[in-house]
Amino acid sequence: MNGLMIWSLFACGTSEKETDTAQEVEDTNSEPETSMFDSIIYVEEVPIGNMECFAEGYQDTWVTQTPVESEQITVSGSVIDFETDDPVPEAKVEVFYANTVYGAPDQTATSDGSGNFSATVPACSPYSYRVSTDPDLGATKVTIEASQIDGLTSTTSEYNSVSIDTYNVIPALLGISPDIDKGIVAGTAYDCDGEPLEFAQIVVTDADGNIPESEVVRYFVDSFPSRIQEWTSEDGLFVVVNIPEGDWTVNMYVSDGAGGHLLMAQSPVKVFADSINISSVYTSFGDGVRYPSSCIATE
Amino acid sequence: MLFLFGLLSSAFAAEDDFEYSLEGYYRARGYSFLNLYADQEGPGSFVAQRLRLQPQLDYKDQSGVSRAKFIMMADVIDDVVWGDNQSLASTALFAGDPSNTGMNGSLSGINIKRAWMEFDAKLGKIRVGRMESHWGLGLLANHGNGFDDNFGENHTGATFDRFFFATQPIKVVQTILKQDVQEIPFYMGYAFDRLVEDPLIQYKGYSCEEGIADGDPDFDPRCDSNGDGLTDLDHSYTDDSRTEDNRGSDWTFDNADDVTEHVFFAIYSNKETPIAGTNGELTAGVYAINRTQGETNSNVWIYDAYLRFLWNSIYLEGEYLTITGQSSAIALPGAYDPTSEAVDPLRKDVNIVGYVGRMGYKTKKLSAVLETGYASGDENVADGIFTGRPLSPDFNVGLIIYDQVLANASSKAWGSTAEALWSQGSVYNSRYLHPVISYSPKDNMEILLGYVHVWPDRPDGAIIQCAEGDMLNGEALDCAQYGATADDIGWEIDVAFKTRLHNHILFSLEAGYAQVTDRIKLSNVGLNENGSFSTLQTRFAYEF
Repeated sequence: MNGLMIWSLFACGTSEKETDTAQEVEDTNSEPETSMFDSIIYVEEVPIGNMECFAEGYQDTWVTQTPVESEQITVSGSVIDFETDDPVPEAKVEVFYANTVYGAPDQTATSDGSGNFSATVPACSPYSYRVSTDPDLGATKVTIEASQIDGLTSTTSEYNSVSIDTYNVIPALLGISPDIDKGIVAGTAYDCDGEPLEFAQIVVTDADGNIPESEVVRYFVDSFPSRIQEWTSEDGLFVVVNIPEGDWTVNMYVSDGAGGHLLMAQSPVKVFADSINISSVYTSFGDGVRYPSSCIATE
Repeated sequence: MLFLFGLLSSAFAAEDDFEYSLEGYYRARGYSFLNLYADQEGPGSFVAQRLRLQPQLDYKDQSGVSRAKFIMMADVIDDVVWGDNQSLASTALFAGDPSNTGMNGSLSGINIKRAWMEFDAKLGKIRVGRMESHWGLGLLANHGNGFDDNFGENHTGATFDRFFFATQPIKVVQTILKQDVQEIPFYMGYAFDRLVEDPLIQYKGYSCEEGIADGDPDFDPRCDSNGDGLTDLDHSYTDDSRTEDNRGSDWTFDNADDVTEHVFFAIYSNKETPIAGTNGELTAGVYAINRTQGETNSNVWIYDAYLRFLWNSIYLEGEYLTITGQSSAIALPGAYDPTSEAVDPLRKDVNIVGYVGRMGYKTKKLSAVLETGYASGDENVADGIFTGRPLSPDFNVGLIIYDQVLANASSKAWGSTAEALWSQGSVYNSRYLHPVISYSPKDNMEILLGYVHVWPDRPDGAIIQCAEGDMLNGEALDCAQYGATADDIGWEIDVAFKTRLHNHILFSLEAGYAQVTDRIKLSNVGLNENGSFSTLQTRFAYEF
């Protein structure tokens, strides 16, 4: 409730500027009143969450953090099923020491029968991972997550894997048919405290703000996608289906409480076909990279 | 098993008042698909076999009238795929002993599917036990016995744990009134079915999240089992983590979670009904079923009407069913709205329709029948109205579109999460037209030619793609995507040659070609993307 009150007060002072940004996206369509943007971003409820950090920046002045110098640490990792939280055995984990999956992995490990593995990762520096299982078994879908950051004091790290059953049943429940030559983007909308943000809406665009025609956005309820949920619920989770391969941006909008919408966060995502590409968005962050407190340099 | 029944037969034969008989069949069906799967290189083929035994003990009175029977049905080899598929041999090349691997890929054991008794009472006939269930064309209740379809094979069979009573009410009244008893083939009956005693899925009706303190708006005292002011339970509206180990000693006495049904039926059936001066066949009946489960507030009524008419080669046959009521038992993950103000977010109203109608001309040598059928679908399983239910998987229509393509599409979509929503090869979320011409050049021989054309009922956007212009209840169907351009799902042509040799040997050779449109996203299902499918299937069966 506290976060909601703060936000309501704050929204009045910034709505004009943020609405302009929304309009920029609308202008890419010839009929703004029926544009794809309007069909995706229309939430009127103000968000519930701590939005105080938003005052510190917007787009050109997104929040910037100065992390301490990165160093290699060894973490005990575990591969966890996204839906059931069950461990995923015999999963191949490929770690890339960069904020995107590109080229050969820097680390490769295989989870044991309990889903556990050990890996050396760069602490306080965003890295990416790709989790897959034997494609012949058809048990899981390739799951990719960028902007993974472990703190200097991290000892454990959980990597998501999406089972084929979950991957298949989600479209059936949502009434969507994913194209295998396109990818799925999923993630969580976070507030300034790093808690899930309720009443946010997501749109994936290219660098020019264009929305792929095939894009379908859905939100979760109780950690499961819902056809009738129109914005993030308490869990903050979202899924965007049928995004063509390539570089895209996840945009998080909320209502300004006055009929407009505010761009609260962005996160770049490299989408691979026939896979789950995880990219979360953090209020006031424009790069999807939010360092844990142990990584922030103190003066 | 045969040995066991042989012993039983010998033992009871000494009493000289039992008659032992054995019915059943052995069948081997070969399947070959030229281009079913996307990654298929050349024709793919396999053979599946079944040995079904139905021994029967029949007590007859001194006048030779059957008075009491015990009947059992066991599938000793239950759709087992030919070959050693469990790596019994150290290397496949030297495999010698075949395994009992079923068509679903898992080991198949001896399956005693049915066992029931049947006896005469003063007012009628009573059956008690685990028995087959069949009505009309078998759209809903289909025993799956034998080889009753033009194309395809039976694989399941409706079976219920049931108390069954049937009587001829007119005959009873005539007897009570001491009037002359006239044989009027009108039957009425009642059955009680126990479908579930203790479902492992525990219905809660509310969800719990762990770690919420008293005072928090989301605190629910039902989730605080130890009353310490902090929720310690964590579950959704249902708890499907329950196992057999969680059952208490009194699990059979908890009636709230039982699923039961009451069945009422009335039917007139006479193969020699006088019609306009000649005899014809007339069967007409209705049944009603009330299925309930207390804890999920499930109360569903099933109504089914059946008619069969054959007179002077004019043939009519049809069955119409509707399922209405409400239930909170359909707990698909995410398929509810917890923010709803409804008392029970899981509640769904049920409104399902299915029918098949046939009309045509039938003689001993030649028949031409036009069949149309329908199974209502559900465009949105997440909403509060549940409208989809396929027809029985043993009501076979064609060889490819329903039996393979929609079966693959629905099982792929729902996965193991919701197997109850698989079509299993049955008529699913669609309507069809199916003309069939049959010619019998000899008494033991039949040649069939069939055509099937299938249209979607309620495209769901996942299994059946939406197209611009799709309508629902007079309004444009609201879909997230409109990926299809075709109106129909597809069509297929099937041919069959069937013969019976030496009274007991059944041989069938069936072939089909189908063209499926973009209503099914074949690439997602792993099927051949060009939508052209062909199959050749054959059956050898020994029926006894």
